Amino acid sequence: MANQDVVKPGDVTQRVGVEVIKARGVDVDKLIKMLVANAAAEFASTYYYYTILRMNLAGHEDYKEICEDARLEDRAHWELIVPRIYELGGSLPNDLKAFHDQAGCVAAKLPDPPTVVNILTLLLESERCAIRSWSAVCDMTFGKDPRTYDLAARILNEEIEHEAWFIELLAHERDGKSVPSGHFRRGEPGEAPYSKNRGFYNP
Amino acid sequence: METARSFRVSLDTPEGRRTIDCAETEFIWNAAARAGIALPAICHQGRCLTCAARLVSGEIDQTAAASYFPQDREAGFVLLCTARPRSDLLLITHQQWVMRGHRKAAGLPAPYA
Repeated sequence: MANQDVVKPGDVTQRVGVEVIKARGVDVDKLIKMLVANAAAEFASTYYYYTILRMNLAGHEDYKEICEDARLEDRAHWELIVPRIYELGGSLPNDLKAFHDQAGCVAAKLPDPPTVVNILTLLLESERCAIRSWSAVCDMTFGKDPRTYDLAARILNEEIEHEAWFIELLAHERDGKSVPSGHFRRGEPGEAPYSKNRGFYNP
Repeated sequence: METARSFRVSLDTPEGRRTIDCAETEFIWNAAARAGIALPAICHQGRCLTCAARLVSGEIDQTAAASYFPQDREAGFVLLCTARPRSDLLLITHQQWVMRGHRKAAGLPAPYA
């Protein structure tokens, strides 16, 4: 275990909640950068652009609703992780373009042509990037920073479900094949059972 | 059916040099993984810079990368997760932080920087 700075009583310039995870080997500056990049991906690469993708799924009302679930849950991920960035001593860029440019995943811009197969493919690959990004945070924090790990794992749970949804839809739409996600639709749009700490479907 | 050409790709990693075969249709990162070489990567979209490497010699097709700028090419950086060989290659791996520094200095997007 690395040396741990002992925070003096009444000292508001340091945080025990940061020093203890540093002492357990977390590179807090790097972790903050990863969280900012992931927050940017949730807010700017997916939540914003999924709004446009959903608008363009005309004639596929079921796909629209599932895209809406993923869109609102990605917003929930942004909301969940931002307080942790500040708690660790970090902050968000005070410029939206700079924030967008920090995103670790590609912006899910409306494909050309905006066919349902192209949109579903884009949604699937966006979720896959999110899985990889949150897995990296889980790897970095496992056994060292239980609070960040818990938040990242909750988000990862939902990203894995999103991937399964879009595999099911794309396999059906593009290949005429059944590849079940194993899930049922959320009870309400963007229910986010893990990241909003709600009951998840388990009858 | 035409067979894809294959090239010899040498990777200078922190553990030493490894040389693999990589088809012109395959991403170098994938070929390395198939050969048991674990290189860093996160997005697999050519975006996050985690897989960055330095091209010492050879030609690469980087058109599959989501974010790759002329300045990156001029500075000799490549993104292995979306790079296909066009000749035999020599690459230095694990350059993510160097490439992020280059991007920041150039005023270009630098995820995780």
